[in-house]
Amino acid sequence: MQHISFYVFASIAIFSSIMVVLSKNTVKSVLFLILSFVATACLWLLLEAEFLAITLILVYVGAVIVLFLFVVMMIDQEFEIKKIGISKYSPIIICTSLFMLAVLLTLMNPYTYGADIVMPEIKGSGNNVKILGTLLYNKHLFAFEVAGLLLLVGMVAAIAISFRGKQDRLSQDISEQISVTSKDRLKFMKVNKE
Amino acid sequence: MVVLSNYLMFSSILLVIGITGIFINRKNIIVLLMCIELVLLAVNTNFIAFSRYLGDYTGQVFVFFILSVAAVEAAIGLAILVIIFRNRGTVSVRKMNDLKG
Repeated sequence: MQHISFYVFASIAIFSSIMVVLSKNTVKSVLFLILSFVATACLWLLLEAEFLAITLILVYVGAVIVLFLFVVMMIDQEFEIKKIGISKYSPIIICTSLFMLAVLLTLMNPYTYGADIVMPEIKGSGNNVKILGTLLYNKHLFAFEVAGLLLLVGMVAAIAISFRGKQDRLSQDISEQISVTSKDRLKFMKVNKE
Repeated sequence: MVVLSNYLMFSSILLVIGITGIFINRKNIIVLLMCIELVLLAVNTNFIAFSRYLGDYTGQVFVFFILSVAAVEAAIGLAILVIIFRNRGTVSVRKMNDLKG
């Protein structure tokens, strides 16, 4: 049963990542990316990494890919799609990719480096969240804090990059208001008695 | 029975598909960023497969950090993309040729 579900989820993930690359419509690319993430999360569930599988769907699909969808909807593309067929670099690109794939698959096959080990039975592996929490907060605490700092820096950077400044908003300039003297605001005028 | 090399081959195929997508992409920077996310997904699957088959949970902790770094990088990359679109009116990779000699 595990054999069949591995092949089903793996083939869904590979098919949808090929469609991410080859799809003509950008929105369809994003939706195929969502499908490949969900299929990979199911594979991670087969590997008994339940916390990370759900985190992948909640955080990655639910936040990062929704961000991608926002940007895709916002960017109004002219349709360059008809002009892009086979570029002149395509044979070299396909040869390079097939060569990389051949090298990697030769390294990863079960007969060379002893990768044909079967899934071991781990005692007490039912509490994935507890084990991850124990590791994350005791042994890798510094890296955890640095990751939080990295998220803060990323947020500040994203806002600083795309902020346009106040354009049509009325607001006060406090330093200008404090440095005002009475000469700027009051004027004595002589009014003749008539 | 699923051995470790099944997962490793799966993640290698996903990695090569992501890299090929970065190479052959000419029309859109957004597809390029999505292919980078595919590469990171392949690496994460690799880590989790090794972590399960060798009994060490450090691999899953590292995937945690890779996920957070990938989220930050996607956010900043999209912010830069929005600025590029604001200034040029297009996100086609073909038209980003200012440094071309």
